[in-house]
Amino acid sequence: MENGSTTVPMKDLEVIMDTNKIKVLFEPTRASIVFEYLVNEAMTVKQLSEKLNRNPGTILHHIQKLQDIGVVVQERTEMTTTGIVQRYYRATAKEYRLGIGGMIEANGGVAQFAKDRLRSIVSSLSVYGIEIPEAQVEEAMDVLRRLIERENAVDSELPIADEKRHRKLPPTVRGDASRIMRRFALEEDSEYQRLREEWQRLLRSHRKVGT
Amino acid sequence: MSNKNASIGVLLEDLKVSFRFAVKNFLSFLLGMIGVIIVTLIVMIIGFAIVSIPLLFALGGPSGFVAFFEYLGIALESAFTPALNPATASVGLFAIVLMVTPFFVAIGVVFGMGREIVESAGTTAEGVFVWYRKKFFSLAGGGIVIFTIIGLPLFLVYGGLFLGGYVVTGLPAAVLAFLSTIWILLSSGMMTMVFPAIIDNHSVVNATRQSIRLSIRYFDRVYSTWIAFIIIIIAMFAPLGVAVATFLQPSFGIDFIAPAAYAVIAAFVLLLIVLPALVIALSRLYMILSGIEVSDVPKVEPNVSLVGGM
Repeated sequence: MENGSTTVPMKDLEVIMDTNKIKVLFEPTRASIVFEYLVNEAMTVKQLSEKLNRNPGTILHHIQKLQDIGVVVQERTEMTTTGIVQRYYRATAKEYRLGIGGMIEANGGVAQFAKDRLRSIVSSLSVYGIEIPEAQVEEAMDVLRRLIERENAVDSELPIADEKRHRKLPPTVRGDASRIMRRFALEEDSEYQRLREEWQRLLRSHRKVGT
Repeated sequence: MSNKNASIGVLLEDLKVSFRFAVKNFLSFLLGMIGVIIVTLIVMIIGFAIVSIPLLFALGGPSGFVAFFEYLGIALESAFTPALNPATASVGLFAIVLMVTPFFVAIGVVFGMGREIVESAGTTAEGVFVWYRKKFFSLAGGGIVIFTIIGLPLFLVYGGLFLGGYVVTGLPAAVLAFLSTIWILLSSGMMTMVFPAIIDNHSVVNATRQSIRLSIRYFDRVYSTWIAFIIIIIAMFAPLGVAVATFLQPSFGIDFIAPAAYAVIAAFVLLLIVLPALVIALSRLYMILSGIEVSDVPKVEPNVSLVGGM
C-alpha cells in the first residue's frame, strides 16, 4: 500500500480518543488543515499553503504528521500542464470530535483546555437564562462530560450495512443521511436517554423564571 | 496513457521540466546548499567534540590524545593490509561511515527542497533546515543503506582479491571492471528512490523496499531517467578528457587556461543546475510512480445540508 493511501474509506464521524492524536491536532495550523479544509474536499499542499498563507514545506510537514496519526490520507495524484505533480490529501472522516475523556486524561494544556471549555459551556448557558450556581458548576460539568462521551460513543459506532454503496454516496447526501441515523441511534440508546434526562433536569432546575 | 509509462517523449518532458524548475529555483538551491554545507560542518565539529573531549580527559591530556591517534593510524594501516585484523578494520569502516553520515543527510535534505518544488513549483532556502531537523536520522540511515548496498559487494570482491594476494590483470581485470560498472549502474538506479521515499515520510526500511519495488516495476522509467543524467554529466566533462594531454604537459598558455576555465564553469553548472535538476527529476518521478491515479475525479458539490445537527 502507498503511504497513507486512499484505500482508507472516509468515515462520517470520527471521535478522537487517543491523547497523542489529540495533542498533534492541537497545533493550530494542523487543526485548520483538517477541520477547516480537508474534511470538506481533497486539496494539494500548494492549495493549502495559499489558503493558510504558509510555506508549502511547512504544510507538507504538517500533512506528514497528520498522515502519521491516520487523520489524513493521500487521495490521488495529478499532473499539471507545467509539470507540477500534485498530490491531493483528504481527511479520513467528514466530521471529527475530540474525545473529551481523552483530552482530560492528556497532560498539561490539553486537559486544562478541555476543563476550561466545559466550564465555559456551562457558564455560557446563562445567556439563555440557565444560571448554574458556582457550587454546582463541577457537577454540571461532570454530567455534560458524560453526556458528550456517550453521544460520541453511540455516534462513532453507527453500523453501516452496505459499505460499498455508502462510499459511493455524494458527500452532502451522506452527511444528511448520517445525521438522521445518528439521531435515531441516540434516541434508541437507553444510557444516552438516561444521561440526557439527567442533564435536562439540571437545566430545568436552574432555569430563571420567565425564560 | 498512464503517467507512469516510459517513452522518449516522456523522458524528454521529464528532463525539460526538471531543468526548468532547477533554473527557476537556482537561487533557493544555491542558498540552501550553502546552508546545508555550513550546518553539515557544524554537525561534524559537534560530533568530533562529543567524541574527542571525553577522550582527551580519558587519555590524560593532549599528549595521550596525540599518542592514541598515532596508534590508531598505525593499527588502521596494518588492518587494511593482507594480514587483516578484522576488529580494527571494522572499527575503521565504522569510523568512515560515521564521518560521511553528515554528507548523506546533506544530500537527503536537498531532496526535501526537490519535493517542495515538484509539489508546489517553489522552495525556500530555509526549508532545508526544517528537513535537516525532522529527517536527520532517517536520511543518515538511508545514506548508510545506499552506501552499503552499492559498496558492500564491491568491497567484498575487491577486498577478497586483495587479501588473497591476487593481482587481476588483462581480460579478467577488464571483465571485473565491466561487471563492477554494471553493478554500480544497476544498484544505484535501484536506490534512486530511497531519499524521495524518506522525504515522503517512509522509514528507512520501507523507503529502501519502496525504491527497489518501483525501480523493478517501472524499470524503463526509472533507469531511463537515471542513465540520461549520467550521460548528461559524462557529456559535460567529456571535452576535458581531450584536454588531459595538456595537463600532462603543463603550460600556462591558452591550451591550459581554456580547459581550466571550462572545468570551473562545468563544475558550477553541475553543482547548481544539473544536480538540482537530477534531484527534482527523481523526486518528481517518485511522486508520479508512487502516486494514485484515478480516472474519476470526485465531483465537488456545495456543502449544504438539508438536515440539521443534533
